[in-house]
Formats: sequence, structure tokens, C-alpha cells
Amino acid sequence: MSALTRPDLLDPHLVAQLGGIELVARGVVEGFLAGLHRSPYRGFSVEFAEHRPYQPGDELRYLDWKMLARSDRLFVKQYEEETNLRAMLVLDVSKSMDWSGDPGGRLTKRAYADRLVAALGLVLLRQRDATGLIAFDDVVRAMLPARARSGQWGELVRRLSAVFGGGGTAAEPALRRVTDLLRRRGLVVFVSDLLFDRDLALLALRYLRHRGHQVLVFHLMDPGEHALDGPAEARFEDPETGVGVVARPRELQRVYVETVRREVRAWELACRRAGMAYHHVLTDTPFGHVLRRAVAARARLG
Amino acid sequence: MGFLQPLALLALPAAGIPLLLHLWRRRTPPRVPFPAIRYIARTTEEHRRRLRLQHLLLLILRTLVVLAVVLAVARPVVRARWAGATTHEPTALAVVFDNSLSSGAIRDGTPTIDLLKRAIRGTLGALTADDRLWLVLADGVPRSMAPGAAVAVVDSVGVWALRLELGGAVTQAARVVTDAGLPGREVHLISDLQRTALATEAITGAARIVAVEPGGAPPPNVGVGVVAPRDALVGPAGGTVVASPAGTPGRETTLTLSLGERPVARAAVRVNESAELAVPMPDDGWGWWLARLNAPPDEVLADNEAEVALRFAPPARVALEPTVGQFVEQAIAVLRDGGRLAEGNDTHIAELPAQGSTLLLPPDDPSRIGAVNRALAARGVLWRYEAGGVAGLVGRSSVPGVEGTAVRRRYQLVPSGAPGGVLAAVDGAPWVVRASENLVLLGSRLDESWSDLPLRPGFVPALDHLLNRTLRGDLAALEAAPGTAVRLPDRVTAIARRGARRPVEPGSVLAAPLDPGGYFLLAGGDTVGSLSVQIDPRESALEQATRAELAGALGGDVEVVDADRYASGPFGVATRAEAAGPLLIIALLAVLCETMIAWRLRGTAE
Repeated sequence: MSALTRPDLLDPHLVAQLGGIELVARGVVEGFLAGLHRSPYRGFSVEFAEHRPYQPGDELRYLDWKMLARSDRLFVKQYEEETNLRAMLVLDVSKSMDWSGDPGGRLTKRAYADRLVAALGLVLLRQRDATGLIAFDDVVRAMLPARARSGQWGELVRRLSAVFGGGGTAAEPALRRVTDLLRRRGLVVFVSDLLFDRDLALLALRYLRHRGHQVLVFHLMDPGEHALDGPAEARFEDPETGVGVVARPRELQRVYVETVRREVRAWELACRRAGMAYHHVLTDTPFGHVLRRAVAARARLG
Repeated sequence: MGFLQPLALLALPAAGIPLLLHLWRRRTPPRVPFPAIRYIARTTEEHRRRLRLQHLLLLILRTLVVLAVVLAVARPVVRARWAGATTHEPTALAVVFDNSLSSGAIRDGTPTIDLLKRAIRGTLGALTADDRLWLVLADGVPRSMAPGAAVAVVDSVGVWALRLELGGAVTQAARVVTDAGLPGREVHLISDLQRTALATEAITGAARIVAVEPGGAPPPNVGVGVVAPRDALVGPAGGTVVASPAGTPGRETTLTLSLGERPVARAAVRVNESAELAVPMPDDGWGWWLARLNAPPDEVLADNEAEVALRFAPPARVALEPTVGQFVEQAIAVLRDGGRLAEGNDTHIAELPAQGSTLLLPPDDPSRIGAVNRALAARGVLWRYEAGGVAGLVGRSSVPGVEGTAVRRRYQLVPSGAPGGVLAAVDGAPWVVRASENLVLLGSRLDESWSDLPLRPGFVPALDHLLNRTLRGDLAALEAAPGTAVRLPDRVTAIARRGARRPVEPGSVLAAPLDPGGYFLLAGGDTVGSLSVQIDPRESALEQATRAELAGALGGDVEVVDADRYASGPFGVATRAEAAGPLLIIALLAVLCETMIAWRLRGTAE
């Protein structure tokens, strides 16, 4: 496959021009899966569960030829996944996520997260993992229970498109809600810009670990937040709280980058100590790179 | 501290620009939504003190840069004592460069004038466009000129056979620098500081006087000094030339007298003593001759030779009228006994013009004046006698011995037109006139009732002069120092020496030639006199004045410095240095520091 047919490796903003969340996510996943060397469908060796309509990219050996002969329609056999993994995609939809350092040239963190979550969900569902969604800001805005049935992904995408966040970020209450919803041990994929109190958030995430969940944290950051840009002097204001600080970006740039690096490192260490996987993702990172990390983390879970 | 470009200080308020820009930037800045505000807040909090200090340093450095540049453009001068501090405030400088005859002396193998030139070059090179310069040479005339022109003049000028009176030269120089109206007023005397050159006290006013010693010791020296014939008219028995050498006291020299190219006499003599050298009648007969006196060459060559003109002629043959009176008769007898006169009819002393030359005495009887006047008119003489002469004293006269004569009775000698020829005057009125080439008129008889001349020691020499010289066309035997003013007799049309002839205006005042020697005065083709141009003997005494003597002549504040110290800092305000250079260095360092701090402040973009 050439680079042109690998949307998962292209600039996210460019890929987003292809269409909505669903279209982009499908394209990213198709490209991503095409690039994988081993089958992601390990779960297909277990008991047959049900049929589902064929989707481009499904392996032909799982086509139900008898159904094709009988109905002249393409169906693939779905099997119960042996480990019976349940995955919950937890998405931060607070106002801070709705920001881009380059509005004309980069996706907002929310737009990037939507497409990333949709792609993640599609990958997981194709692996027959029950996948759900929780979107939160200062309250839980959307909740889709983890299912592995057909239509789950479509529903996930619809929920993503429908949820309007924009409030503040109070991760701990939302995460406590997650723990309530995930009774069976599974995978929690936490996608957020982590612009909230670290200790409080880690408290909730450690609780999930304590309950036996595997936690994967994707720390989203716009490149403009990673390296401070702006006019010679400006009043930088938090869109959530309105709190502002007057600063001269050129004077602070070097030490600001160091501050951010320390913050990222602190999150990383804290997550690792708590047994959680942590990935720092800039919103100009091609989706495929992020998916690869997620798949790798998923693979370690067996 | 002063400023050479004070108008530049008008730009000093520009030093407030960095502060104004700093305050301008602190107005309400643009608002930028930024979710990760916590990172910025944490960063600014951690580096608040450092940032504030750096901003303050930048403000100070930028203000310092503007201040330093503005001050540098204003070219401040400060008092400084480091080597090379040569800037000075605008100065009017008069350099008295003594290239008189004594500057030709050789000191330790180097001509003194070369030492003086070496000393002055640094000063001329240190002058700026804000200064004014006058150069005074051995003629004592201040000449305004640009430093470049002065360098060319100094480099090319040689030793002049003149004497420069230092007190007078410094006075002239001080006056021109004071009148210039500049803050600095200085007179630099570049001279061998000869003791004999300090004749008068200088009037220096507010000018700073610097006297530069050439270094080394003046050598011993002997010059021929004053040379003069005992008598300008030499008879068949020969004559005498008297010489008084000048120079280092007590030194002896041998003088050699030559007539033409032939040595004729030699004498050993000490400085400030006199020697008489006999001059024999030349083999070629009567006429005008140049006698040259030489001393052996030493450290000053220009004073080892002098020339005088001698006229060799037979004595006048004089006839007396019986009415001339006893005083004349006795004087003539003395002259005849001395070989100065002979009996004959070439020259007459009479009451009426006679054949040949006549010394005319006025008649004792006033009724006979008419006849005298008619006789004079018949000969075309433009003078006549008139009654009414007033008694008085004889003033300066070209006839030796008559000056100061008290005249009790006289006739007026009245000219028609402006015939000239006055040889002596009583209170300005003609008393002895040369009416023509061979006629001299006296306003008084040579009798004690008319004047005290017959009783004066100069009576006989006066008669000798009138009879042997005046009535034989010999107008004058002049003496002058080089460059000094000489009034020529009214018949002289040229001066000549060694075949070179120079036309002159009859009766004019001439600047004596700078080249010492004997000159002949010419009236047409005839030699009618001589001009002996001799150096001032005081130039031969090279001894340097002491500092006390210099202070006495040039003022107690005179600074006497040696040439080396003079070269290091010629100007009285040389302890000033222009501070623009250090200020520009400060500005440059401030720019470098500002650049470094600003660069560190901005850091490098990731």
C-alpha cells in the first residue's frame, strides 16, 4: 500500500478533510490494519457466535459461503472472543479540548480525540472486544455500554458526534462513574488533555487499577501547547476558567518547554507507578501511530 | 570635562526611548485563549525573579547604549594623565622658530636647526582644524598659516644671517594668540635660547609660554665680530681695518685680511678684544676694493667671514681763499700734515663757486649774498641763500662729527623744487647741502661766532669727509645688519656685489640684504659709496641662557622643557584626552551584553 492509501499515516488535519468521523475512522483503520503483519482477529478462532454483514477488509476465510449461496448476500461469522475483553473508551470533552493552536491547519484536540476514539473503537470491535464510550467534562455527557454486537460502532460514532461538551473538567467524578459502569474487568482507554488536578485524577485511575482494569492513558496535547507560541506579549486565558497570565512567549519558550516536559514526565511516572500505560500524543501525530500503541497495549493483555 | 561637539548633547533625551518603549509594551496586551494556562503560570512563577532582573538589566543596558553613543558623538574631553592623551581644546598657537644665525651651530654632530625642526614637527602634527597657527621665523614676523604649510616651511627653511630678539618675538606672538579669541593661547619658543638674544622683557599677557631646549651643549665659537675700516677712504700710505671678534669669551683666533683674493695681513686676537690689520695700497691702483676678513672655520661657519668696502684714492688737493678764517686754515694744515690733503687746485674752500669742486662758505657780509646766489644760479644750482636763519642744533648727519653742533648764526638754504642732497640740518632746516657733484654749500661760516663746530673734535674729520669724499662723489659708507632698514643716498640707483647688480630707488629705505658682505652703491655707472652688511656679533656668542634668565626675560611662568618632554605633550591642555573612544567601547560592550541577555531571554525555539 502506498502512502496515499494509508490515511493512518497522513497528517490528521489532512485526513479529516476526507469526511466525518465515521468516514475518517474507517479509512484510518483500514489503512492501519492493512499495514499490520499479523491478524488482528485472533479472537476468531473461538466459538461461532453470530453472523454479521461483510465489511470491506474482513478476511474472506471468515465468509459464510453457505449463507452466500443461500441468500446471495455476504456475511461473516462472528466468534466469541476467548478472553471476552471489555473495553471502555473514556473521552474528555471539556472546553479545554475544543482548542487548536493552529485553527486553520490543525484539528482541535476534541476533533482529533473523536476520530481517534472512533478508530480505536472500530479496531476493538473488529477484534470482537466489547467496546463502550463515556464522554465527560464536569459531568458524564454521554455513556454507551460496552457491547460487541453489530451496530455498536455506528452507535459509538453517533454518540461522539452528538455529545457537546465544553464545560469544565472534573475527571474524578466521571472516572468514578466509569468504575461503576465497568463491573467486569477490562480495558479502559482514557483520552484527555489531562488539564486537571493530577493527584485527584490519578486517585480515580488507580482505583480502576485496583479493581483490576487495564488502563491506557492517551495524553493529548496540541503542538501549540507543547511549545509556547504567540505574539510578543499576550494575556493567555484559560477558556474553561477565564484565568489569565500575561507572558512573553519568546522569553519563556525554552523554560516553558522544560515545564511541559516535566509535567508529561510526571504523568508518565505516576501512571507507570500505578501500572497504567501512558502515551503522550500531539495532535499532529498520524492516527496510525497512536493506534499501533493501542494495539500493542491491547496485545499485552492477551 | 568639556565637549568638542556640544550640540550633540541635544540628543540626550533619546536615552529615555528604551524606558518609553518598555512602558508602552506594558499596556493591555492582546488576549489569547490557551487551555494549558497552568503550564505558563507555573513557568512564570518559577522564573519570575530571573525574568524581572533580566528585563531590568536590558532596560539599563539599552539606556546606557543610547547615552554612551550620544556622549561619544559630543566628543567629550577629560583631564587624563595616560600616555597618548593628546586632544586639546581649540588653541591659538604661535611658534617662534629661531632660525637665526646661531641655529647653524653644530651640537654633538647635528646642526642646531635640525634639532629644532625635530622638536616642532610633533606639535605641528598635533594641531586640529579647530586650532589656529602662526609661525614666527628669525625675521620676527608672525605669519598665519595652516599646519601643513607650516610643516613645509619649517622643513625647507635654512639658517638666516639674522639675529632674533626673543623677548620682542615672544611679545608679538603673545599678542596674536591673545587676539585670536580661542580658549587656548600658547606661544612655543623653539630656539637655542641664546643668552645674547634676550635683550628685552616679553609682554606675554595670558598666553602660556613654553621654551623648548634643543638638547646638548652649545659648542665654543669664535666669529669675526665687528669689522670696520678706520677710514673708508684710504690714501697711498694704505689703511687700517679694525676687527673685534665675538663669541665664547677668552677664546683666541687668528684673523686673516685679504684684499681681493690676496691675503695682506694676519693678526691673533682674543674674543672681545680688538685687532688692527694694515691694508696696503693695492698694486692695481686707486679705486673701490672689497677687503675680506676670515677666521678659521669652527662649529658656526656663517660668522667666520666679513667684508668691508675700501676706497683707495689720492688725497684731495685743496686751495683756500684768504677769507676762510683761521679755524679752517688750521684744520687744513692738520690734514695736510697727516697726508689726508695735498696742495693744489682741484678743490676750493671759498665764498663763491670756483673751478673744480668747491666747499662754499657763506659771506660774512650779508650784502654779498646776492652775488653768491647769482653765481649759484649761473651754475644751475637749485639752492640759494636767504637771510633769517634761526639758531639751533644740528641733528643726525651723514657728515661725521657735526651732529650736535650748536649753530648760533646761519643763512637759510632754500631749494627750488626738491633737489635733495641735505647732508646736515639745524632743527630740520638744511644746513649742509650737496648742491651738485662738486659743490657743497654750508649755511654757516666755519667760525666760532657762527657755530661751535670749529671747536669740536669732529671738525677736522668733518672737513676731511667733505673734501675727500663728498666733493669727490663718495656719497656714503653705510653699515647695516642683514634685513635691517637702510636709507640710501638720493643719487644711488643700484647696489652691486661680485658683479651682481640690483636696481634700487634713489633715496629709498632698503632692507639690507640677508647675505652678509660688502656691497657697492652705484649712481648710474659710478660707484658712489658702500654698504657693509655684517651679522650681528651677538649671534656668535652661543652660550645658553639660564632658566632664571629666561624667566626674567619671558615671564616667571615660562615653562622650560627639553625636546623629548615637549614631544610627549606639546599643549598645556595635553593632559586632556578625548573620551569618545572609551564611550564607544562601553556602548559596544553594552550592546553585546544586551544581545546576550536578550538572546538568553528569548531562548531557542524548540
